[in-house]
Amino acid sequence: MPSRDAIDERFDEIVRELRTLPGAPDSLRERVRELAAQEPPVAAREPGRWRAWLTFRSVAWTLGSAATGFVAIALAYGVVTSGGGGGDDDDSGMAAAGQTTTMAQLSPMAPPAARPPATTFDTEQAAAEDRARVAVGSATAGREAVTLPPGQRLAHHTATMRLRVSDVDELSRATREAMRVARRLGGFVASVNYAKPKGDEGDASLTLRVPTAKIQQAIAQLSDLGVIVSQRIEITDVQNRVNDTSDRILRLRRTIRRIELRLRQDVSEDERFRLQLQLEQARANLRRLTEQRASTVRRARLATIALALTTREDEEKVAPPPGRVERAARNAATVLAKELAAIVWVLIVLSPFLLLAAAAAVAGRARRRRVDERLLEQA
Amino acid sequence: MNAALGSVSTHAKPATVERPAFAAVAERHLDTVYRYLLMLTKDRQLADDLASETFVKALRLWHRFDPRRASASTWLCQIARTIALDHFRAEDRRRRREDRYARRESAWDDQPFAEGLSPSLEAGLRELSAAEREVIALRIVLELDGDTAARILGISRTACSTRLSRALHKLEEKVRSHAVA
Repeated sequence: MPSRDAIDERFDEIVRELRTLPGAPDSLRERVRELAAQEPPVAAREPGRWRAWLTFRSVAWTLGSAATGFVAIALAYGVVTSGGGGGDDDDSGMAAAGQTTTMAQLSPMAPPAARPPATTFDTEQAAAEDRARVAVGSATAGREAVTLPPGQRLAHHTATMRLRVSDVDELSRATREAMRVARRLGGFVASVNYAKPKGDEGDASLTLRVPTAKIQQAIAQLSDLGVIVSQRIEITDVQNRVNDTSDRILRLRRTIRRIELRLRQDVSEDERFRLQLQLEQARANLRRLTEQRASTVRRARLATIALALTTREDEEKVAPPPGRVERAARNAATVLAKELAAIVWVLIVLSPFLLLAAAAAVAGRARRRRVDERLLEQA
Repeated sequence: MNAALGSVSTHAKPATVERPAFAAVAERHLDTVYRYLLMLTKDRQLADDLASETFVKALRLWHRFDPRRASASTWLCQIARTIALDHFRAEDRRRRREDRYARRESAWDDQPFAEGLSPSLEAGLRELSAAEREVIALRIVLELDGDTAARILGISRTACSTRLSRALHKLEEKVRSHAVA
């Protein structure tokens, strides 16, 4: 059976003649012998294995180190943030002790009339950060409502309450009464969601907005509507933010005045044009900051109460607050999840470029091969 | 060049390899490399120079040679091909710059490049392209099998067979026409 590599017999003469082609001349042979004599003795070793080993190990090391680093960062974050002095600690302490948190030792909140408008320059520099959150505890079922600490700074107040009522009739009554409470105190109902009861079970959720000065009264009156299952109040200090905005508004006004004065003087056309642009920019910024400050103040004047009403019995038990280890683990998991999301995002963003680079490399090789073929055709 | 031979698998556990001495390999395959370059370049002096360069490079890369992946002659021919292509590229650039292609071509035509070949065969070989001479060199002069030749050329076995067939037909025609003349 003829081999696949066999040459057609018709070319036998050519083949025979071609195979008489001379070998390397002696001069070349000598040169190559001299060259080969330079070869240093090399112990037998796996060719290229060090490369494969290095590559594999490097990749493994890099990935392992990166993964360890990510996990270490996440754990450190989790430990650091789990034990800090935040509201959560206050929550856990108070809830575990089963105590209410009546802040009797603090002076009551100043009525709004006695307190100067928060838009002015309250320079009191409390220790609180601009967005310090003070969660003043979650009450267990059946306990008294939590009262609020007095506020002397502009702040956003948010309360979350969950009450249990006896039956669906009571649910309906409590829902209506909650809306009346909001209106009576000078506020309004932002939203109501009353799910049609199925049998003996029903739920309702309301979002109420009441004047900040009346939030204590609102909470007290709403608490009477049922048995408290859970409650949480957050106060976000925005005074510093408002103060900063006011400072910036002042500076902008001065700048605007200065530019206007300069424009009244004799200035060149280019200078006038530049000043006009600056003036427009400054006025636009002033408008924006003024609106921003007004919006913050408006929000601070009205507190938000998220009220949930239910007839369900299994809401009796309040889950114990997580301990430090659990908090650390949760925070670490959150950070890890964010790190993974970031890695995935980077891969998604980079993948088209990587694909393009791979395609370019393949195209480059193909082109080089075509060029070589052309060279050989022409040579 | 190593890419043409394929990359070392990172999954297989490579065993220690006994590599022959470079001097012995060079002695054994010098004629192979020289003949290959002679057919490729049709210039004895140039083939001489490129063969030297081939072995210089081969000595430098000798630590990378893995006899399990390819024979020494295949490996050397691949290096020789790379060197020859580099030379052709440089020549191509130079010709385009200096526009002396015609003079260079005639210089080639003057000198017989292969002693022992009939004038008609040598004339026929001159009229083939380097690619055609190359496949003839690998399959016929060096007597490499189809797979090895295809690997060196970087083409499929089928393409290699086709190229060889066309080259031989063309050479036969040229030889016949020169013989008649």
